[in-house]
Amino acid sequence: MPQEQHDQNVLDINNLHTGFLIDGELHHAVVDVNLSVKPKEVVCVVGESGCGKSVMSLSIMNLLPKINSKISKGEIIFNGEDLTQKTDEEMNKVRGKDISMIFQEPMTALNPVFTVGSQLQEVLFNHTDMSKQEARERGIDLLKQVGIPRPEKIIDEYPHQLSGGMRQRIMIAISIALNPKLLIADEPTTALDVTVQAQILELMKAIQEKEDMAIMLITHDLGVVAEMADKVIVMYAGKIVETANVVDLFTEPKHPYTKSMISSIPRMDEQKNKLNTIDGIVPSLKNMPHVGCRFADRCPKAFDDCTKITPQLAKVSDDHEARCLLYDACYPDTSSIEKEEVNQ
Amino acid sequence: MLAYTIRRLLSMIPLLILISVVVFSLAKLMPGDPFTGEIDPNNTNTEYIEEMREELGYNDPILVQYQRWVTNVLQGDFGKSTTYKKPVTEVIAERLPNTIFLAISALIITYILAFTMGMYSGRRPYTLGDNFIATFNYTGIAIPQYIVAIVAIYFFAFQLGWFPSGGSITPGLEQGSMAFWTDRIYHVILPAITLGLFSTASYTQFLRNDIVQNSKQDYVRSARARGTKESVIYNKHILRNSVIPLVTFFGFDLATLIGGAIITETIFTYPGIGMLFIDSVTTRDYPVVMTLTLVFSFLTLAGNLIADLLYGVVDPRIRY
Repeated sequence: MPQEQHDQNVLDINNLHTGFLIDGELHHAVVDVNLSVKPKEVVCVVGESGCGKSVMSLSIMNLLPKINSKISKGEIIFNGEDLTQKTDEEMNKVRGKDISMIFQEPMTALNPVFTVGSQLQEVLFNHTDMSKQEARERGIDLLKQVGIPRPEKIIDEYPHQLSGGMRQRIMIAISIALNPKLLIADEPTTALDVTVQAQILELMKAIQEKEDMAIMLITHDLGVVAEMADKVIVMYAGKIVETANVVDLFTEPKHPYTKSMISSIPRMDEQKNKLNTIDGIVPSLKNMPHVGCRFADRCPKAFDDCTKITPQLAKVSDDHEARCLLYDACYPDTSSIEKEEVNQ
Repeated sequence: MLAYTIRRLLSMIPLLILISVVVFSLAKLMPGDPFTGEIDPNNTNTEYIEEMREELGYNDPILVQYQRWVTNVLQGDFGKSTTYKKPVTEVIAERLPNTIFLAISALIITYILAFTMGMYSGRRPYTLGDNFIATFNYTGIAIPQYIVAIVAIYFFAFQLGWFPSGGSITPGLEQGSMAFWTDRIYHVILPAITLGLFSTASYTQFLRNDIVQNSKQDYVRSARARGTKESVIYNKHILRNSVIPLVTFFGFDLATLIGGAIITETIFTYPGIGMLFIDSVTTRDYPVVMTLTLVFSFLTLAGNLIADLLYGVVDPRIRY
């Protein structure tokens, strides 16, 4: 990648490995993740539960519990600085200001004993010298921006007085309070009902366009991907298996996993008795195959090599990468075999 | 909140009636009466004692005695102490401030110790410090209070001479003066620590566990995600949530402190209502025993009411 383009990226993740200590052994939940987010870009990370999407996003924020997890390798470059090298105090200056994050569960994401306003103002007090009065005005203004009715009143209410959709709006208000360059949204609509989902996505899209921020949206809902994404990253069992722009991904999916996922979406224009599914589940961290493709035992197109040779992520057409031995480019060269040894 | 308080106070009435029956029955079931042990039957005319019993109404039917007692109590007349020959209210009023002083001191010691240790442990669970505090607390709760009290007297009063072994005040000090209050504090420290340590263990471990549990909550993660300092997360976000269940403890504590004071006061010969209670049982001073039991019961009810009302204050999700 040319240096110039590299500099422009909001976020560059290089060779990220994040693992959990289970019975004294480090098991990687995220392996060799490389990705970049350009300014104003919406990058969607998709995959089933247990694919390492959330672990990757928490790695960026350095929010994983230190007691049993660690980033063992790789770098996360944001603003020209490697976030993995930062201490907690240094990260506190980044969190909420330059990168903010919203989570899946709006019902529990707010502290039940403090008012909406005090939690909203906290982010302002953490990063600016605003006075109470200024913070309150800014808070009301933010609530207005995220479409909360009667913001002057809601700001003094407690989270339990609000609905799930309203709470997620408040989380969004908190996350955009200081115009971050990057917003990480970890399944922000999963816990909401369908009509509210659409409203929240529209709101995020509108704010993203207005504030010029990049969004990394983590989801398992391909409908959300189609609606929001510029670029899509498909993860499976801790590894990126396919990267493409949103149109290519839906029209020409390359990896069998992506293909199976797309064919599992129920369609209104098709008469089907049975919905396609992908048999099996994501292998657990302790049972992860060390050699071969991690999707091999669930893959409809698996052949002999799949369990013996570990595929690498390679370009399979313009701007489209995949990790599957159906494509010759994915057969590993010697350097990536070394890489794999690290993970064992 | 006012309506709720009134409703709760009204619902205390049937309970108090029930308590009065139990208190009265227990007093009547105790063997002997005020004349037992006080008067030597060999020197006194038994007929005279019988006459006195008749005069004081001890031979009336139980129901009549109960009715007489309740009527008097409702009019604020709790009877006359047979030992002190003074109205019960006066006897209790003399001792009550001592007990309240002891209870408050014990409560302050409990809170200081429990919050310091609980917050330390909760933030660093499963570390050496946490395990040390847990061991200390569980040992503390396993040792009966009277042993702690006796050991404390032995070491701190007799061996080291740091604190007095009993009493509530050095005689002869001018009431209300600076020396008077420091002397009272000096006298209350040892019994207060003994009494306070008892509840400290449960408070500390409860607070610690609640902090550990709360630290795994989603709201903690989102507070971190907006760049909130770890100290603010623990001392504001988590602590504010963990205080809520402690309110329940406060409700029980009122009664526990007064109840615990019965043992502590007796061992430290601290002249509060706890010691008065034991003395009155020994001398069969019915009016005092009955009134004190009523006071203890009432305090338990009041403690629970205060705790329930406090919930509304500390937890915004609860509204009355």
